[in-house]
Amino acid sequence: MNRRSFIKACSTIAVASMIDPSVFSGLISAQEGMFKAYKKAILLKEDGSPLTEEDLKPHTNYIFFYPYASTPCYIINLGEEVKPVEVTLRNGKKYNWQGGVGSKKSIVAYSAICAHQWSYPTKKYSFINYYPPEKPSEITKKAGIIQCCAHLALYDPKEGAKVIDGPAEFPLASVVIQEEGGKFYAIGILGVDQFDKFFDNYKRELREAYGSTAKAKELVESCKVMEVSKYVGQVIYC
Amino acid sequence: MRNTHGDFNYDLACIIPPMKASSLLEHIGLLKKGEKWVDVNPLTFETKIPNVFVIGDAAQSYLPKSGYAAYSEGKLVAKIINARIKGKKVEEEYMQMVCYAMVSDREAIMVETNFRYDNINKRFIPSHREDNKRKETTAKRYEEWAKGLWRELFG
Repeated sequence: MNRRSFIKACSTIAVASMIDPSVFSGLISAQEGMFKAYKKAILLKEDGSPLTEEDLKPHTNYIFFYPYASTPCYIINLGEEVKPVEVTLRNGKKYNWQGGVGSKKSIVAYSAICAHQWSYPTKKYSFINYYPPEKPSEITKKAGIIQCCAHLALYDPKEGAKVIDGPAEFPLASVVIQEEGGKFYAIGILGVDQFDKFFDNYKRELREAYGSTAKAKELVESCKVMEVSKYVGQVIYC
Repeated sequence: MRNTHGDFNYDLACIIPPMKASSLLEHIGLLKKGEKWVDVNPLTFETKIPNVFVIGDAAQSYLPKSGYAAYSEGKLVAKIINARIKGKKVEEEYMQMVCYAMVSDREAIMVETNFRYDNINKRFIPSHREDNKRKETTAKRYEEWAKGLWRELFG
């Protein structure tokens, strides 16, 4: 590790540890440059009250926006304990994915921007979706996965969204969720995020949707969570 | 219409002329007289001249002569050049072909083929998946697929 990356890692960990000391021990070991702390944002229900574990039906895909007003994420209760795993990238870099949260450690959250060519859920369509166990993909026949129908990139939500098939080079970035007294907070992003590419590629669309690029890039302090099917006009499975 | 196979009557003809790589490649020594395509290393698309690559229709390849194949090959070669400049090596590459076809003004079908290199037997193993039920949702996927391609090609 060179001096620059050491300072970057220290500052990242320092910010994270101010949020919660448990984050320090959990993330320090192998997260050099892979964890980025953002504003701590509480997850809310559509009515504005804090989201609780009971609000997340198992195997249902929920959407929220974090860390920016326009960057979509999925939160899914996988219905069973999801253990931490070490994620290895193609370039050999590794990081420890934190596993599920909640009483059963079954709740996971990821960026919903496909790491291949940045398809993301809009108000019209979502091509990248979670496939519950009882609804496998017609094409790949796989279930319990997150799959992008544009180019069939497949990610495993039980394994830190690592790539299990298809053309994506990176796993989906993970949203680090912290539970405090039954409430859930997003505190940062772990892994390779696609935010720069997302903002570069969708300038026009984001200006149309949010009024300006600056508004699309506003960091959020709270996130409303809703079922994807309520946010998106047509959820496209394949 | 008349060709070497005889005379043909038609209402609508799709004529594909004989195909071969550009004569430019002959002039620069990558193609011998009478050869149609340039021989390349199938893993890197590098020609017999080190650090000279040929992709797309001009290359003799296991991939089909399609726009998406040329695009995928181009991305691979860009990675190889980038890695070589930095003194690194590119690991085994996964190649994917995706082809959508509109079958009406609103519906499409699609096929996908993945190629993985079998290091032991030194050959590519294709695996196919298809969605051959005509659907409007597949047409929307087609549009999303194309947008992704155009974003990478044209910025």
